[in-house]
Formats: sequence, C-alpha cells, structure tokens
Amino acid sequence: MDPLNAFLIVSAGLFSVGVFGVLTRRNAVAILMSIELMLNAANLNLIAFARFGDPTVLAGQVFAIFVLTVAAAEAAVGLAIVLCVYRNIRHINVDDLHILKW
Amino acid sequence: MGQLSWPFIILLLLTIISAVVVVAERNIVRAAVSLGLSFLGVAGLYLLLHAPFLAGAQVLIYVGAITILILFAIMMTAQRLMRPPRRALETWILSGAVATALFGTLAYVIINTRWHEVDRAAQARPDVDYVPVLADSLLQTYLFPFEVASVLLLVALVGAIILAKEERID
Repeated sequence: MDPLNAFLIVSAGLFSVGVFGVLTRRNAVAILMSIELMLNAANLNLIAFARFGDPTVLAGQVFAIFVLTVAAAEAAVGLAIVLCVYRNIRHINVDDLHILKW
Repeated sequence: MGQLSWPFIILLLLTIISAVVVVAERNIVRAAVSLGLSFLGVAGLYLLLHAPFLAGAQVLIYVGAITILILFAIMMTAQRLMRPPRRALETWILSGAVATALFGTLAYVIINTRWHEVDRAAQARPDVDYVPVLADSLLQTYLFPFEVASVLLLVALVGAIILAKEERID
C-alpha cells in the first residue's frame, strides 16, 4: 500500500472513532476527549501531506502547529465551561443540559 | 499491501485501539489515560513522517498538558456519573452506522484518488533535517499568524480563568 494512503486511512479511522465517541458519549468531558481525537486525525493528515507533498514547503507542519495551539486553547476554555456548568447544575450529562431551551 | 513497516503497524494498533477504548470505556478515568496513550501513538506516527518537532510538541502539549487538564476536569466534576447509565441500543447502532459509513467513504475516496506525482519524488529524496526549514517558515513566512496565535493563547488563558473562577455570592 502507498505510504501516504496508509497514513490517510489511519487518520480516517481515528476521525471516525472520534465521531462515534461524540455521538454516543453523554459526559461532556468525554465528548471533549473525542473532539481531541478528531483534531489529532486532522493533524496527522496535514503532516502526512507535508511529508509526501512538496518537501521544500512545510506549510502542512506549520498549519499543524497552529492546530495544536488552537486545540490547547479549546481544551482549556472547554473544560472551564464544563466546570462552570457543573458548578451550576451539579452534573455534566449533556442529555439533561436543556436550560437554554427555556 | 506489503511493505508496511512494523513500527507503523505497532503505532497504528496503539493509536486506534486506545482511541476505541477512549470512546467505549465506561470508566472515564481509564478513558482519559487511554487518550494519553493514543496521543503517544500519534506522536510516534509523526516521527515516522519525519516531523520530530511536531512529535515533541505533541508529547508536551497533548500527552503532558491536555491529558492532565482532562484528568483535573474529571476529578473536579467527579460524581456518580463516573459510570453513567448506558445509552439506548439504537443510539449505539445508529452512531456505529454513521461512523462506519464515514470511514468507508473516506477510505474509498483515499484509495481511488491519484495523488500528485510529487510524493514519489519526496520518497526518493534523502531525508533532510526539516526542523530548520520549519523554524524559518514559522518565523518568516508565517510570522503574523504566529503572533496572533500568542494573542489567542492569552485570551484563552484569561477566559478559562474567568470561567472557572469560584464566584463568591455574599
């Protein structure tokens, strides 16, 4: 199998596992964990293309660094929001988070 | 198939199996530790792709920081929901079908695409040290996004502190 295809398929598998996690998990922290898996899959794609694309331009790796930065910021703010929700309603079960519907 | 190297296969199994544990394990602490393992596997894949700086950053930021942050969040929201009630079976089946269909579509498209011929040239090329090239492009071509990213991190820091701060009602 072509090495590029192999990496892309691993990345597709990781992304699909993340999608499954987002759809089935009820705990907000677990959903954030699944989102991190999907971000990792995207990064793997970017770096695979940087490796097997034009090797003089490392735009893929640079982009992956920015994705890493944004993912770190997202995790910090997301977990802070989860903490805030927990402090207010004493649980983080996303099925019961329907206060905004009122 | 063929010529898939065994480090690749080991890292692939490590990454995917721990990712499956992350989404399937009901004990969320185990899921978080497994998430760290999955991040380690991805870092190894970055090494195979000749991205040592990214692999180091992955270990520092994801394995070191984000996994620990998630464990802290789990501890601070710890309650009986550590073992939540199971979802209905149909949710599992439906979600599984969606994920499988997504993977099938992606794999079909990936296998049936003729990628540009540059990748053949890159494989024949001797391995150069990519880190200086990466540093140059990050601090020259992409200097402005680099600085904006630092502002983003500052805003996220302040936002996280304000959101998570204990509010005293008196």
